[in-house]
Amino acid sequence: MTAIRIDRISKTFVSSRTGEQVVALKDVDLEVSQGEFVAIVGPSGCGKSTLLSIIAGILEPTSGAAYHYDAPILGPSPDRGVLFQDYALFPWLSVRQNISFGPRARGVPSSEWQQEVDRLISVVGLSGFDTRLPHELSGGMRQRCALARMLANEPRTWLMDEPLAAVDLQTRTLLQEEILRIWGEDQPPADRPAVMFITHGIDEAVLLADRVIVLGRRPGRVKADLKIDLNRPRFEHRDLAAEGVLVQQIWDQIRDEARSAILED
Amino acid sequence: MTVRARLSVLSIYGAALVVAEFAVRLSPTPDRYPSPTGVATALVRNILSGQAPIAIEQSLSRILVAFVFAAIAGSVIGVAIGRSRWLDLAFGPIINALRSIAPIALIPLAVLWFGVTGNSAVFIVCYAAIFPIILNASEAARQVDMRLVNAARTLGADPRHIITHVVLPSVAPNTITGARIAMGFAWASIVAAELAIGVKLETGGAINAGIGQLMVSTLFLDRDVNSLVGYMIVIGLIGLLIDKGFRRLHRMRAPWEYA
Repeated sequence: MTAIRIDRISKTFVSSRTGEQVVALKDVDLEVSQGEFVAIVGPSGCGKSTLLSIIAGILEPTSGAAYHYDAPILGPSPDRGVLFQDYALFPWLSVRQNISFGPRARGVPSSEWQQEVDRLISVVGLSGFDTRLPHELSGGMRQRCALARMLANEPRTWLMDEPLAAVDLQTRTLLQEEILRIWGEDQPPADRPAVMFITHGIDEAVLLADRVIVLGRRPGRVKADLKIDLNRPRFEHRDLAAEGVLVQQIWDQIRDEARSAILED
Repeated sequence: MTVRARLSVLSIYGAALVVAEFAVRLSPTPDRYPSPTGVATALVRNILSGQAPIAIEQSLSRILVAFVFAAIAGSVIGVAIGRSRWLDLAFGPIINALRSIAPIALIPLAVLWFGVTGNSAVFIVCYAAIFPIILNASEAARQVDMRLVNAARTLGADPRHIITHVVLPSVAPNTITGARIAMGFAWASIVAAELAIGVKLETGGAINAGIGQLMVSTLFLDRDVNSLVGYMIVIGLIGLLIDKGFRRLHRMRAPWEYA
C-alpha cells in the first residue's frame, strides 16, 4: 500500500525583495510504501526540507500534487507527524504538556490519552523529567520529547527533518537505535508507520533506511533511488563493510554537487 | 557587590546627605529647600498621621482600575492588530497618532466628560497605560515563532487553538514587559492628573484625595517643601516595588529567557 505519493511536484520560491526566482524542486516523483523507512540525502540546497514541508502540508507546491494514502494533501494533519530539526517544543509547556499537546488540540478526552502519554514518557526515557521545561533538558532529551509528542497522535506516517543533526555523536547513535525500535523494526511493514527521514549523513541514511533517495541540487530533483538490503534489526547485525560500500556509492553520486554547494556558500 | 564596594557606595550617599543638610541650613531661605532631616521627619509624621497612606491607597485604587482595563483592552487590541494585516492597516495609524498625544493634553477633555472627580484621573491613567501594552503585544504577536505555529498545525491544532495555546503564551512575556512600562507611565500620570484636577476636590472636603492632590495642597496651602519631597520619595519607592513585582512575574512566565 502506498503511504506517500508525490506526483511531479515543483516548487519555486520568489524573493519578495529582489523578485529573484529559485527553483527548489523540479518535477519530483516519489512513492513511499506503508511501513517503509525512506531516507532522503542530498547536498545543501537540494530542497530536502522543502519536500518534507510539502508532504507535511505546511508548504504548498507550485505545481504537482502530493497524496497521503491516496487523499490529496491540502494542509497539515495529525496523521502525518513531523519531527523538526530544532525540536520546536513549546518553551512554556512541561515535557508532559508538550507530549499531550496533540491529543488535547484534537479535543480527545484526557481519560483516553493519560495512560498513553505516561507510556510514551517512559518509552522515550523521560520518566522523572515530565514536569521539566524544555530549556531544562539536554539536546538529546529535547529531541526525545519532540519524538514522543509526535507519537502521541499515533500518526501513520513520520516525517523527520534532520532530527539528529543538532545532537552529539553518542546521543545520535543511541537515538538512531531508539527510533528504529519505536518504529517497529522487527514488525511486519503493515504494522508500522512509513518514515521519511531527511538527513545529510549518508552513513546515517544507510544505517537506518530501507531505501535511500538522493536529491540533486539547482534544481532539486531525484538523482538516484537505492534499495538498502541490510538485515534488520540493524544494530544487531551491523555489517560495516557492506554499509561502507553503499555509503561510497551514494557519495559518488553527490560528491560533485556537494563540492559546488560549498563553493557557492 | 563586595562588602567594601557597598560600604564605599553608602559612604558617598551619606556624605551627599550631610552636604545637602548643611547647604540647606546655611542658605538664606531654608524653608524653600528640602533638607534630609526635614524630609525624614515630615515623612514619618505624614505616614503616622495617616494622611499619606490614605492618599496612596486612593491613588493606587485608581491606578488599579485603570491599569486592569488598559491591560485587558491593550492585549486584545495588540494581538488583534499584530495577527491581522487588515486590522493593522485599519487601526495601526490611528493608534500611533493617538500614542504621540501626551496624557496631560487630555486632562481638559477628561474634566469635561468626568468632572473634577477621581474618574478623570482613571481615564487619564488608562490612556497613558494602554499604548505600551498595545505596542508590545502587537510586536510580539507579529513575531510569534512560525516554527511553533507549524508544529502546532501538524499536531492537529485548528486556528483557534493556535491563538489560545501558541500565540497567547508566546505573546505573554513581552506583554508583561509592556505592562511594566505602562505601570511606570500610569504612576507618573496619576500624579499629573491628580495635580491638575486636585485642588477643587480638596475644598470639597472629601477624603478621596490621592497622592497628587495631597501634593498640591501641601505646596499651595501648607508651603511644606519637606513633605512634598517626602511624597516624591514615596512615589519612587512604590514604583520601584511594583516594577520588581512585574519583573518577577516575567521571570515566572518566561523562565527560559533567563536560562
